Amino acid sequence: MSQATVAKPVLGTQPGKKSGKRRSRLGESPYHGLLYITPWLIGFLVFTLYPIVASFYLSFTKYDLVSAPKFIGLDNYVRMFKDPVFRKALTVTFQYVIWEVPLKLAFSLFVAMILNMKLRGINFFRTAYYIPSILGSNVAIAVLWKFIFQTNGLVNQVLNLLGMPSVGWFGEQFPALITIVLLRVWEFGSTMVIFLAALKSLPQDVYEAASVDGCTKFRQFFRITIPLLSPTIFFNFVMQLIHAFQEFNAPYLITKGGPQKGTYLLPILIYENTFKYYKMGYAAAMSWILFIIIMIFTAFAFKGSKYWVFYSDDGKGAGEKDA
Amino acid sequence: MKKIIAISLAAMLALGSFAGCGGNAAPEAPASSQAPAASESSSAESSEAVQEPVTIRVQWWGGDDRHEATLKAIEAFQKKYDYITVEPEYGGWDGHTEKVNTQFAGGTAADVLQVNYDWIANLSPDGKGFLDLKSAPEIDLSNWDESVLKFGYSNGILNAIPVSVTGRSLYYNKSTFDRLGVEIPNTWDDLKAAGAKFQAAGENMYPFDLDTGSGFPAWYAACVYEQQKTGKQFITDDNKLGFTVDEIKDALDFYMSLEQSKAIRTQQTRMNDAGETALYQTDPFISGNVAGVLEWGSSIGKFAKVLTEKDPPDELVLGDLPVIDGAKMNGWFMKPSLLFAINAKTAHPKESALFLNYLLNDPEASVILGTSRGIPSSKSAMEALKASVDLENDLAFLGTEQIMNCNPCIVSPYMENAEMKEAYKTAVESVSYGSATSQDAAQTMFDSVTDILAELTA
Repeated sequence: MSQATVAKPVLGTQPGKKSGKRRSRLGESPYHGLLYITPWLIGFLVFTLYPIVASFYLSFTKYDLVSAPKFIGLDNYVRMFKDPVFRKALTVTFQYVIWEVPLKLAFSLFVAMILNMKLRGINFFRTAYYIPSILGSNVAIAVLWKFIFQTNGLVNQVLNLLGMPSVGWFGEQFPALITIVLLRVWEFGSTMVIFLAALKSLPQDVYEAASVDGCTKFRQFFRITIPLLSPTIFFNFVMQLIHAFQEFNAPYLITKGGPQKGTYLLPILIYENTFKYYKMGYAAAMSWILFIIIMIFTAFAFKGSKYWVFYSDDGKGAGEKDA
Repeated sequence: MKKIIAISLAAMLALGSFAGCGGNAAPEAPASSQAPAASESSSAESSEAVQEPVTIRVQWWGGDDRHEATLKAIEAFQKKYDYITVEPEYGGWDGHTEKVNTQFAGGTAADVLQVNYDWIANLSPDGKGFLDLKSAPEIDLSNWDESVLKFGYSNGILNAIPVSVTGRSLYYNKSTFDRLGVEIPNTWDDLKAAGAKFQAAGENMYPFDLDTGSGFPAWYAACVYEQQKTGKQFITDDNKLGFTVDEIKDALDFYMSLEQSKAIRTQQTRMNDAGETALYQTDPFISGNVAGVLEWGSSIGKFAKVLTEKDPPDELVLGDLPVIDGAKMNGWFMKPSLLFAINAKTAHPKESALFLNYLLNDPEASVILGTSRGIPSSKSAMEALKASVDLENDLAFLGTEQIMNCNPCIVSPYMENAEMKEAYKTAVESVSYGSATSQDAAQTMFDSVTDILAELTA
């Protein structure tokens, strides 16, 4: 409520006078627009901006959730760099991102290419392949995953049928991480849909010209499809990067970060410090480090993008496409 | 310019999505902050003649047997006090601590809470987080010995009442042992010998199970063994670490000897079998292939339930507490299994106290609840229970009795601290996976436990 009144004069001063009359004739006031976005504004201030500011402050305090926060300066940040568990979590987080992001992009592009073909009943398949994404971060899926990959699970049974030995998926660090990666790769739907939309809008004449010149399909893919698709790939890449750094549900539900912290991603460490060890201040500091890491990676991605992302209209259309 | 905007938008998105995590508890806030306001006025008026309807929230964790019994008790309570509505909030142990912590931080915790031993120190370090139960005349405190109540004090204020005392005992799937023709083990050596016999019957057959998870049975067993051997308490009465590095190493070596004799699965095999799922929900236990468990008497019901409800049913029995030859002390632990407390911020202290008293002391409730929270420490509840239920075959009763009569050590409230548990887990995992020698693992555990205890008791 209060922010609406604060913002009022600001808006009222600029466009008010000139267009004011015309607007009021239409039964509108310059405040109407503000009124419409108020629910969002309140949500933003209360659930986004306030927590951000609060967590920044808390990161410089010792706060056990019960007694009042105590200011301790940079201690939390200093402590982090000496903490072997933090280093382990950071390493695991990078490993996860390095595997998950490219695999997911490649797989969703692959599926999008298939679904872009003119096949009978293709709309059915498009829907079917999107379903895993609707299930999203569903807890039931994580439970299902446990069953699929356990010793007598579906995956090992299939491996045995093919004459291969069972794999202990959750018992060792790397396979455990891969099961989490696979869960997220399996939920390729939303990236796939974006790829599919982009593929459908590619100009056909370029391909025709290439075919006439005797270019193979394989070469067409790397020389035409990939460059033309690069803004979309870039968009998906940045989105997936940000999501991957924040992965929590799957490893928490499936492996609890184990074995031996092999799937102990940074968000789990942050969660456990907050709610298990009562170290809200330390956790807040770690979440800011995570945020800075995401920022840096995103910035690098944008910096690097000029070398491989081609906008057909010199970047003018980038905003539209990304939206 | 565009890129700067894009970067900052991406950043906002990143921030927004992890700020979202914390939002979970927040939407509840308005609802419950209205409730106290509305009810304060009503309870003030209602104390005389006609009772205004009052709603209190009660929260607990547990398995299905406990849920069913508690829901029935609530129903009976509501019949008795028709103006009080009790809203139950319950679930499994997993994540429950985190949920309650969040609710406490946000001021939305329930009125009546089942609390764990270590929560009192965390949630009410000054004794003011929970209601002073001595100030609630509705609760008949004469039902407990002061020696039992002492577990519930914080800063000299009675914050919580122990429902029961408990300790971990060894329980075995007798049907599996019978099928294989193996005797129920009485000593550690019997257990190791049973490991070999089970292996002979199938490589996924084990007589016992210890995990590193939230309940840390693996370190628990190793710790008991070392206490028997040295006569020293792992955590001393003045909350210091009682073991030396070498003694921790010896305890870890003992744990490894159980793994090597195939008495228990390795940590790796456990993880492969079912990830971090609780044992009683996993196939190896339900099928009977893993035929034993080190469990609290107060929680053994859920293990027995899955075995007796399958077709054909298996029988779970209580085994002896193994004690080494020449033991310097018994070494097995006892602690208050669970406690009940009333939120200091409750708007209905009177009704909450009424409900708590009903749950803990009322004969009717005691019979309904049975041993779903262990053997009641309340005298009136115990009498009512004895009169109506055959306790001689009740595992929770037998287990609790066994622990109470074995001259046990009292579990330090810090022993179950989450960070301490993490230290045990790290140590057990690294010896089990062989990623550290037991000497190195012991040194790491010694250092971290020393640090954590220093921080906790500072």
